[in-house]
Amino acid sequence: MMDVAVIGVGQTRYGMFPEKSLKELFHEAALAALADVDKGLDPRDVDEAFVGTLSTGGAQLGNFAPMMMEACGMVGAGARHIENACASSGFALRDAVSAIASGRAKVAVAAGIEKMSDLPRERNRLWLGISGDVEWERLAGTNFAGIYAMMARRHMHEFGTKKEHITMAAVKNRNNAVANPKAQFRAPLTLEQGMAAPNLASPLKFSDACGITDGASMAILCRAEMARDFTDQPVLVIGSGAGSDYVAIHDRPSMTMLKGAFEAGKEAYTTAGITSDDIDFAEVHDCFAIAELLAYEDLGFCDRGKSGPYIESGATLRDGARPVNNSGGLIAKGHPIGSTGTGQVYEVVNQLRGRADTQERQLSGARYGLTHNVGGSGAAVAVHIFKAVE
Amino acid sequence: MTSYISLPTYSSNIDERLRMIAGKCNQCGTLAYPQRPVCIKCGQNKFERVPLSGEGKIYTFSVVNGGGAPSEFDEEQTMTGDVYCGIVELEEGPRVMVRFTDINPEQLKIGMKVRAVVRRLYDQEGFLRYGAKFTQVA
Amino acid sequence: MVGIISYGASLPALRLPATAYKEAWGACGARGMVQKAFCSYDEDAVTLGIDAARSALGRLGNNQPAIGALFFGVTAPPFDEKPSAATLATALFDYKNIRVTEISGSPQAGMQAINSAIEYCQSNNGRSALAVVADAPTAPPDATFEHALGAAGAAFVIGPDGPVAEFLKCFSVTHETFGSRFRRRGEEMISDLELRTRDNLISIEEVGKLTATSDVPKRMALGVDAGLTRGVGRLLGNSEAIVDKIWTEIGDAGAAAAPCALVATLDIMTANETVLAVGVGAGATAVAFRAGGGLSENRRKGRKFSELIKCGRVANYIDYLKHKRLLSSRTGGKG
Repeated sequence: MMDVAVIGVGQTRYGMFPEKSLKELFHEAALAALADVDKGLDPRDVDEAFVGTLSTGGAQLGNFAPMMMEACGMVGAGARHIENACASSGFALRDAVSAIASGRAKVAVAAGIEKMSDLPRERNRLWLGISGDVEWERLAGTNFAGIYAMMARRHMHEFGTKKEHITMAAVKNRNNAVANPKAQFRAPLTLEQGMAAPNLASPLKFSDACGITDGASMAILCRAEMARDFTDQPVLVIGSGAGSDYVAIHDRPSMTMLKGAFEAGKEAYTTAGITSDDIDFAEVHDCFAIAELLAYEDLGFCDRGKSGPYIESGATLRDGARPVNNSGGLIAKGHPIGSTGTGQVYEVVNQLRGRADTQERQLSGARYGLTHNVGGSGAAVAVHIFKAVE
Repeated sequence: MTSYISLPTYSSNIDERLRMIAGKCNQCGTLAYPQRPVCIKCGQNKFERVPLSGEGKIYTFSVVNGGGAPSEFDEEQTMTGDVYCGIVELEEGPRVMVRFTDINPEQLKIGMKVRAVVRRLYDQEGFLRYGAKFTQVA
Repeated sequence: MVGIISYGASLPALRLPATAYKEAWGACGARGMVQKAFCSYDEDAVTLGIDAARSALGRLGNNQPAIGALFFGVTAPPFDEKPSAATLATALFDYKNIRVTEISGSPQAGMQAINSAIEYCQSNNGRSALAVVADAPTAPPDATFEHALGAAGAAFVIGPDGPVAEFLKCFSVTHETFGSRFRRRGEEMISDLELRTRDNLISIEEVGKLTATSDVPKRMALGVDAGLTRGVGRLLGNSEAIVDKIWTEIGDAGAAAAPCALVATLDIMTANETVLAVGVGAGATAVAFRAGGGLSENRRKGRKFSELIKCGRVANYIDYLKHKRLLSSRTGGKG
């Protein structure tokens, strides 16, 4: 197996860009990723491409990946669309890593995009609920907020977790995003404001959730042995894990953990040869605030059931022992579904290279960074571990 | 607007929706409701059809803001507001995500007794779809 | 003798007090009505029918007979074509060898369904049938006759012998009407030209001519409005008759009105008393029963109609319009 390195990352600003076309958005991310390859890369040298998206404006497009590659001048690479709901580009990354590790590709691209802003309200609700067990969950009238809310209520019931603990994740992430120029929501939030926000899906409030976001991102990877040809600051992908679970949460023995995330984390730690204690910082999938608390437990950052006290301790703040979602996470940086996984890579790679866009956000002395990308309510999860090269 | 759940798909589990018919694994006796092709416990794929009582207790729930439910319920939530849904642990064991109806939101809590009734689920493609919802046991 | 083996009823979730009309329109066109029962957004004649049938079948516990035929009486089924009776059968039975018949066209449909179930049992010796009646008629909200429109369901298991009530006789009359309560094909809402014709009185009078030749029951079940209720005993040949008063509490339940009145009457009858249930509308279908020894046991196993009236959440007029889709630009009263 070949070692794999990231040599360039790019991301559009996350936000609402109804006036930008899908191709423009993707092109912008690709252009940024190519520019990030310090010593340059001919787009035609890309061997394989994996593009994550859920669907385009709620409609499926055939041959989506070749269309995106065409939009950014990478015609010719073996390109395919990867779909695992909100974990689409986390899985695109995993496949790009495999393509290189197997020796088949020298240079591969993992990318993601979603355009969510240009739909009528009803059409948005048509497709936002398609990533669960549609026959039973969707027809019970719930959306994903409701599904995570049901998990949150179980967590509170089983472990005595307080609603404040859950909202603390949203507050932290919103405040982290203030300094992130790429983030969608950059207004700070206080715990009092978060607790008093209107009901979204009880016990979750509107401020405990991500929004509707447009955005695209790309990571360019190559064989680690070639990485120095492209940049003096490659970042190694040292761990990759994936897992899946029953799609409907009612079929899972426990609703207070994502088994798929636990398994993905275990595989990622094993392949990286490190443990959760070694992780200096992480970007986790906080589509709803409770999801960040579940991630702490599933990834071994704290004991099972103890994520409430863990977040309360401040350990995951920007200046804490292990910052989580320094970018603002999905809640504040934004969650353009297909782009989220590679968007997390953008953040982690920049942090490991010491290239955070503002000095205020730059974490110091970080060696190991982790990304945790969840599809739906945990049906598919991809976890990756990155390491800075000294 | 077209539906994400086709009519043939809906009709294929009409007995589950209207009469709470579960699958009972021929090998280990585990109940599958909703029914599934492979037993969740032992992996076998032969089931006997058995009716469930339709009685159970709330395992977890949420009040979804009337504006956020899937598009099938667009008109309904405009007309009637918040959507009450959750997971019921049925008397016979299986858990299932359900819609609550005729329920006092202030009394919703984990452990509350509920029972199945047939109601309209939604009206789409010119077709009404009926199915079990759960209501407070008086 | 053929008769009722079990019975049950269902009322929808919501209640609207008559005062809501006084507040909204200055007066309530349903004089004498205290409140009515109406369907929440997810209820209709089919869900009421299923609920009523489950109540009737449930009272039999493990002694349910195999049902050979299901008759569904309803003026407001969700489909003109595609039998809702088949939905009932799917929801109620795990077998498919069942005949379903949907009877519609006038508020008589409910009593016609009961009578058809009786005739099925009479002509198929030893077999049992299920009569389900449910209705939720709709009219334009600015029509005075809309004010009375309610919703309800009832069901009767009919068998070769009737421990709950024995069938005595059926009387039918037909009276073509011109302008009162009609609905053209494809229309969702009933119309009524509000003429001064006395169609329902004429129909009841005609039934009275037929019943005059037999023992006139002491109890009468019609489910009709307060005005008509007052004169019914005399018209049917017994001015001392005890007439049901469910209309004042549930409103006009269309095809389910007389069957629900029959349920409410069975709830309070003693063995050997007789009742005449009359469904009225473009004629009348009247069925006479004598209460049997099994009545009191059967009714102990379910909830009484008076209890069903009491449960239900009181709504306001705006919620009423929303639940009935009368404020909807998409469905505009459909369904």
